[in-house]
Amino acid sequence: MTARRPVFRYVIVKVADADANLLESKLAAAVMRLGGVLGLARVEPAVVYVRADKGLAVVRVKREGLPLFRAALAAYKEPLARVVKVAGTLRKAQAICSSLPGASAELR
Amino acid sequence: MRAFIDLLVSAEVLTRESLRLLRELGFSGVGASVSVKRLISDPAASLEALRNLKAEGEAEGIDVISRITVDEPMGEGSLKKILRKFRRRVEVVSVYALDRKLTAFACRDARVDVITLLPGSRLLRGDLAYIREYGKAVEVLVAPLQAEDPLASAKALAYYSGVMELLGRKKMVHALILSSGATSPSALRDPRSMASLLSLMGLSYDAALDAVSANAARLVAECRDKLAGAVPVRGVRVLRVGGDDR
Repeated sequence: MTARRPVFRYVIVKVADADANLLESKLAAAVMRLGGVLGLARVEPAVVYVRADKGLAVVRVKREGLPLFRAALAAYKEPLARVVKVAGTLRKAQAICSSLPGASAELR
Repeated sequence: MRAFIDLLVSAEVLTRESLRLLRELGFSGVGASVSVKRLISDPAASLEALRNLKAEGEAEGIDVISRITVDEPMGEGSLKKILRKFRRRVEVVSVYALDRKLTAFACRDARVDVITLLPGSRLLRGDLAYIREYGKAVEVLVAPLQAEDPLASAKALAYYSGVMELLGRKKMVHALILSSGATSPSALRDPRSMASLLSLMGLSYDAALDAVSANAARLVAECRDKLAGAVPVRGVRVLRVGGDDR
């Protein structure tokens, strides 16, 4: 018997710095701060797509960890990333990124 | 579709850019708050600033709600004086539950619309009875959870979880409002993330969304009705003004 494959959600976020590795480590730190290692295991955030020209990124999170991920962003002292939309597939998330207008470089 | 309202943002923060940012985040209304200290020092300028913000909000497509926030300990007499002077000039009046006397007075005075809870505030059974009777709102803030010190934010989280449990037990979840309490634009967050934070404290996600939308909207509508004279006294609503039929 194999373990059930996790279901993901793709969170489209507006970011100031579109460096995927840096963003991923910052997001992990934010989730760690609120939910600890257990919370991080529930969320497993991963930056899977970046549109640097628009200041947008797609973060893959586990479905059951989505509320914790959003809460971690809200409770973090700096605005790391602002959630624009949540999609069920990466393809849909990429399409949304393409349809959105370009964002300003700085997050206020 | 839900209309989200962030009922507590410092008026100093609200520039045209931050109003635009709030609209981008998904809010359709914002409470522009003037602290009591600023109000006392220069009442005319404070009220003028609120009027200007309302006009700017209209231009940006966001509803600006004028609000006075009593955010420092003061005596009953001083608070009564402020309420007498300014109650009819702003839409919402709120009091931070900073000490026991102030909290008790704010709960039993019908002119106060919102009781804002900070970590450590205490609400007693009588306070809750008054809040229910007068249809006031209990407000919790995101700002204390964004504290730099993890211990301070953990304490705030624990305290607010207790408040959620209390309101749930007393069947008063409809009286709960969640606001950012932002004193800088960087503290503003989108409404669904704020609701997610509240849902981690034991509230259902729907009830948490209501705390950022329907509950706040209901309070604002009631306050505006009172100001417009549609509710001359508690329990009486003017539906229409008829002519003299004699």
